[in-house]
Amino acid sequence: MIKKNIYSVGAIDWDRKLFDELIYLPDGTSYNSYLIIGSKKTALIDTVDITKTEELILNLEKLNIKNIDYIISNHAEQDHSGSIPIILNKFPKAKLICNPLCKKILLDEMVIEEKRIQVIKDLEEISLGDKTLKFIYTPWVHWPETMSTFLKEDKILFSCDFFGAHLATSELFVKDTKEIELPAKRYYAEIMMPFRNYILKNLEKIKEYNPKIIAPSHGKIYQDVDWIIDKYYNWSKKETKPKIIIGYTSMHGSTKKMVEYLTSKLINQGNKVKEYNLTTTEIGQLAIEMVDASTLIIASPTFLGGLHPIVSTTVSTLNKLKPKTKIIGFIGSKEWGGEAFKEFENITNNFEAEVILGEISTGIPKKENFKKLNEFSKIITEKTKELFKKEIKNKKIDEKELSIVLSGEAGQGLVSVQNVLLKILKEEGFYFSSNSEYMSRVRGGVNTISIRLTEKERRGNLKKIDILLALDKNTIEHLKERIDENTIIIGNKEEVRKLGLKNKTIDVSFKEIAEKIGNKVFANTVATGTLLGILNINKKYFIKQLKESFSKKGKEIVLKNIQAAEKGILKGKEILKIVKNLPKIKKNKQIKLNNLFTGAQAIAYGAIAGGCDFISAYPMSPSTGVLQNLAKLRENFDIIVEQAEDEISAINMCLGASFAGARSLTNTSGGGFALMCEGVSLAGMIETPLVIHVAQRPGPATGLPTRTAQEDLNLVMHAGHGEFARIVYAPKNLKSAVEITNKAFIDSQKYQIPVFILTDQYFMENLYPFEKIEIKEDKEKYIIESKKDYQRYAFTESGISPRAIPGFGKGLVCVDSDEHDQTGHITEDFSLRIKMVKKRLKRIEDITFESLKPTIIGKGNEIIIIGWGSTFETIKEAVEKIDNKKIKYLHYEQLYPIYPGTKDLLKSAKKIIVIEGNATGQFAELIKKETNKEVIKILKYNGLQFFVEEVMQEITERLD
Amino acid sequence: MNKIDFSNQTEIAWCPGCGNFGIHLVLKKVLEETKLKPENIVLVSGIGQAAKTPQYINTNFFNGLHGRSLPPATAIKAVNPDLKVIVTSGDGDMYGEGGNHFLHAIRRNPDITIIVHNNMIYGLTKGQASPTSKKGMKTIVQTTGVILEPLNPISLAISLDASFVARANIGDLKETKEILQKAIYHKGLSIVDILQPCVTFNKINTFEWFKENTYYLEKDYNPENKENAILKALETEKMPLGIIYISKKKKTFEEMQNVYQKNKNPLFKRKRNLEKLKKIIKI
Repeated sequence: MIKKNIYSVGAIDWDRKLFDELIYLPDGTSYNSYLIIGSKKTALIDTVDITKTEELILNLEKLNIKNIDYIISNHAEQDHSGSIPIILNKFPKAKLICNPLCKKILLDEMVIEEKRIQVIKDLEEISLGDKTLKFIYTPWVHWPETMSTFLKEDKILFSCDFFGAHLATSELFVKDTKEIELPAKRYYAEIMMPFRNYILKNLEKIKEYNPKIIAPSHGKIYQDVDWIIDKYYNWSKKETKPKIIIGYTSMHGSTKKMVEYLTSKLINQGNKVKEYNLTTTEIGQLAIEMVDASTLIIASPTFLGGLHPIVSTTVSTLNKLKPKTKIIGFIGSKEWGGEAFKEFENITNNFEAEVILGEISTGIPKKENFKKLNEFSKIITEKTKELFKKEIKNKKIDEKELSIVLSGEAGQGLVSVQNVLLKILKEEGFYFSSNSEYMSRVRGGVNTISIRLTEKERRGNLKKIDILLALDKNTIEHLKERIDENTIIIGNKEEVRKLGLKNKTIDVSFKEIAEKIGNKVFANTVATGTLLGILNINKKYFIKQLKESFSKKGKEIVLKNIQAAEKGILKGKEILKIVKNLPKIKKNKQIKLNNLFTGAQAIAYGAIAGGCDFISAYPMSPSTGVLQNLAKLRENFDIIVEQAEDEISAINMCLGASFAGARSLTNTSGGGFALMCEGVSLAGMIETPLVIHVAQRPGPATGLPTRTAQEDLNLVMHAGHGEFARIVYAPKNLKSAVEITNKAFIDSQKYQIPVFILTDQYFMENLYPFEKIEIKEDKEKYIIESKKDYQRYAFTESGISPRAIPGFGKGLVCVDSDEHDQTGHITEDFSLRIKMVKKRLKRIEDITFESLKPTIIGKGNEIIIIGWGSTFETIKEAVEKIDNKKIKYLHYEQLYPIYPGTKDLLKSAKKIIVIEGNATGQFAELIKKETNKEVIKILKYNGLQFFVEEVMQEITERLD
Repeated sequence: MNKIDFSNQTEIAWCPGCGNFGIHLVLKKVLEETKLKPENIVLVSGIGQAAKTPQYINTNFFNGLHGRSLPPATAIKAVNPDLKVIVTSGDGDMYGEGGNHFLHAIRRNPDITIIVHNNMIYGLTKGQASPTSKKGMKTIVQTTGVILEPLNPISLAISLDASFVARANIGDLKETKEILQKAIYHKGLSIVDILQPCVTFNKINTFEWFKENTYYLEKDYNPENKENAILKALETEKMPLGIIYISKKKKTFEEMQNVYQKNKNPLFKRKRNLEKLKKIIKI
C-alpha cells in the first residue's frame, strides 16, 4: 500500500538478466502496476510483462478486487502492456485508457477489441469519485507515445518508464538515494539518454504539478521527488563534468602500452581519468560514464584494416545513445596498414563532440610515439579544461583592455624599456599595471614584462596576452602557456610555426632593425617605438626621455637611439594597419598626477615615512630592491645604509642601532631570514623596536631565487626561540605598502617589538600608477630622556616600559639577552622570571585589539573567499568579474595577531575558501584554528603569481 | 671633581681567582681616569664568562647574543658617535662564534675598543677547546687532544691592517692598564687580546705559564712598522706583550658615513620631516 486505497500490485522479476536482448540487468527488474480505488470507480495504472500476469492477478485477488473500471496504459511497450488483453478479459466492464498513438501501437501489437479503448487528450481528466486522474503527455521518454498519469488529490505522478530503475526489490520506497543512484543512472544511460532534450521539456511540464510522490513502472517509488528530478536535470542538461573515460582493446599489448602511458600523463596533468578494457567491460558501465563525462578516448588496434570488432560494437552502441560528451580522442596501433580512424569517425556521427586523432603506432610504441602521445595528452587536457573555462568566460563583463607582453633575453635592456615605456603611458593618461618576471641569471634566459592597459583600475595578474613582442625568437616558447588563439605575435614567424602555434604573426626582427642602425643593443628602443606606434602615442615624450637617459653616453648614442625609436614607430604603424580591431583604450588625464613606483620602492618610501634612518642588510633576491632604493635616498634623508657581512650581522646591527636611538630596518628573503631568527628572539627579549621586511620566494633552501611564493608566513610567525610579542603585516597593494610600512615603524616603536612586513617577488616587481598615499605625520618620538634612577624594564600596567637610549639623560640603559631584572641586569630569580615573561606578553592584548580589519569586498554571506598579501588585486578582480551575490571576499593585511572579529565575520559562511601561494595552506590553517570551521584551499606553488583567469576558474568550480 | 665609581651592586658570578677579576678591575680604573660619565659609555658583549663583564660595571650596556657583540657595537657607535663603545668578549665569543664579524669589523674600523679575555678555553660551557687552545690540549670533548692549529688573533688582525693591535697579560695589572688606556684613547678600532688563566678548566695556561711564555716589547719598538709587527705577531713560542701594531691613517666607520658629513648630531637628535618625502611621492 502506498497510501490508503492506492496499492502497488505489480510483479518483481528477480531473474531477468537481459532487456531488449542487449541490456544487462545486474539487479533484475520489476514491473510496477498501481491500483487506485476511488469512491466511485477503480483504476489500474499499467500492467506487467506477460510472463508475470499471474502475479498481478494474484495481487488483485489478495485485495479482493471484483471490478476495475479503467486500465490506464501510459506506455505501449510489452513489459507494461503485455497483460492488458488478459486483464481486459478478466474485468469485462473495464475500459482501456490511452492516447491515440498508444492506441495504434497497442492494436498493432496485440489483440484488443477497439471499442474497449477510450482515447484521452493531453491534460484530460477522469474522475474516480473522490480521486481524479490527469493524463500528462510526456512524449519520447522513451517512446513517442509515453505518458504520465497524475493523481491530483494525492499529488502522485505515475510516470511509467520516466524516472525508472531496473531493480528487483521487496522495498516499495526509496529510503537511501545512494542505493538507487547507480540503478537509476544506468537506466537513464541505457534508455533515456538519447532523448535528453525531450526530458528537459517533460521535466518542466511535470514540475508545474508539483508532485509529492513519483511512482515509476520499474524500481522503487520516490518520496524525495526533488532528488530524482534534479538528477534527471543534471544528466540531461548540455554541460558535462570534467572526466576523461578511456576505453581500449589490445591484441598484442601495443595499444595497452600506449593507453597506460596516456592515462598516467593525463592524471599528471590534473585530470580525473578512468580506464576501461572493453573486452571485459559490460557496455552499460561505459554508458553510465557517458551520461556526464566530458571526454572519451578510444584506443584500438587495427584489425583487418579497420577497428577491432569489440571496439566497433561498443562505439556504435554508445553512438546510438547520443551521449553529450564534448571531446572524443582516438589512438591506436597497427601492424602493416589500414585506416581504423576513418571507420571510427563514421560510427561517432551521433556524438556532438570534436573528434581528435591522436597517435597511431606501428607495432610496439617507441620513443617518438610516446612523445606524440604526450603532445596529444596536452591537447586533450587543454581542450577539456577549456570546456569548463568557456562557461565562465560567458559571464565576463565586457571591458576594453589590452594585454601586452615584451619578452627578451636577460641583458637586452628590457628593464630600461619598461622604465621609459611606463613613464610614457602614465604621461599619456593610461590606466595600466605591469609586472616582470626573470630567470635567475645575469645574461641569456628569458625575461618578460607584462603590461595591461585598462579603462578601469584593473591590476590583477592577467594570463591572457593580446600582443606579444618577442625581442628574441627563443623567448616565445617560454610564454606558450599564456598564448591563446587570439594572441598576436610580433616576432620570428618561423619560430611561431615551429612551436605548432597558428597565431597571427607579424614577422619582425627587432635585432635586425637595430643592427642596421649600428648595434643590436638598440633592439629594445626599436621595440618600445613599435609599441608606441601600435598604441598611436605621440613620440615627443619618448624622444625627450631618450635624450635624458643617454645624454651621458654622447651625442652619437642619443642620435642612434632616436633613429631606432623612429624606425620602431614606423613599424608599429605598419602593424596597426595589419592588425585591425585593436581595442581603443580610453585615457584619463588624472593618471598623470598619480604615483608610479614598484613594490620595492613602496617599502623604501614607507620606511622613510616611518622615520627609518638605519638599514643593514645582505643582498638577497627578491628583497634587494628595498636596500638599493634606500641607498639611493640616503643623502636626502640622512640614512645610514650598511651592507652587512651576513644576515646575522645585519639584524644584530639593526638592534644595536635601535638601542642607540635609530629607527632601523632589515631586509631579506628566504634563507637570509632563516639566519636572522636568533636576532628576532633577541629583539623580543630586549624589547627593542625593529622592522623586518621579508620578500618571499619559493623554498626550501635556495628554491627558485627569482620567483614568487607565500611560503614563509609560518616561519615569520614563529621565528625566534622563546615566547614574545610581534606583528606580521602583508600589504595588499602598492599604496597600502607605503602606509603599512610607515605603520610598522610606528608600531615597532610603540610596542617595542619586532614588526614584520611580508611581501614577495611578484610584489617587489609590481608597478602601476596609483592614487595619493594616506600618511599622517607621527610626531611622537617614543623615546624619553632618562633620569638618574632609570630602569629600562620598569614594570607598568601595559607591560611596556618607557624607553630611553644611552647618552640621552642621566640614567643608564642596560639591555640583556639573559633574563633580567627591571634594571636590565642578569637574574635567575624564578618569580621575577614569571613577571618578566608576563610583561613581554601582556602587550599582545593591546596589539590584538588594534589588529587591522580585513578589506571586505562583496556582500555575500554564504561563500567567503580569503586572501592575504600580494594576491589582493588579482583575487579582487576575479571576484568582481564572477559577480556572484553569494560571495564575500576578505583580504587580510595583518596576519598576526589576526583580527579578533574574524570568527564573527565568518559565522554565516557555508563555505570558506582560502587562496594562497603555498602548498600547505598556511593561512588557511590559521583561519581553521581561529574559526573551528572547515576551509577549502586554493593553492599555487609553481613559482608564479596566481592569474585572474585561474582564480575565476578555481572559485567558480567551487561555487556549487 | 668627584671621582666616578664604576662599581655596581650586581653579584659577580666568576670563579674565585679568575683572571676576569683583574680585567674587571683594570677596566674600571681606566674608565675612571677617562673622566667619562657612565651614561656616555656603552659596554657591548656577546655570551660567555667575559661577556658578563658589563653586568658588573656601572655603565650602559648591550649584552646581546653569542658571538654577535661587534655588529651592535659598530651600529651603536655609527648611530651616536658621541658614545664611548667598548666590547668585552672572550676567545670563543670573538674568534669562534663571531669570527666573521671580527674580520669585517676590522675592515669597517669603527672607533671602538675590543677587549678579548683570552683564556684559551671555553669557560661558560665548561671546559671545551677554544679557537686559541694550544695543540694537544686534552678536554672533555677533545679527548685525545686538540688537533687544530690555534688561531693567532694578533697576526690575523695585523694582516687585515687593524687600526690598533695589542696583547696584554692580566698577571701584570699595571702594564695591562697602560695598554688598555692607550687602546681606549686610540681613534679607530683598537683590539686588546688579554691573556688570562681559567682557574677551573685550563690547568695548562696558568698565571705561571703566561709569565714564562711571554715577554714585553722593547721600549724602542715601533708599532707602526707593519713588517716588523707581523714578525712579532708570528712569535708563538714566547709571545710578545704590548702594542704590537698601529695603523694611523685610517678613517673611522662613523667618519665615512654620509650622515655626518654636514651634521655632527647623533641620529636621535635629528628631525624627520614628511615634507621632503612629499617632493618625491604623492602623499
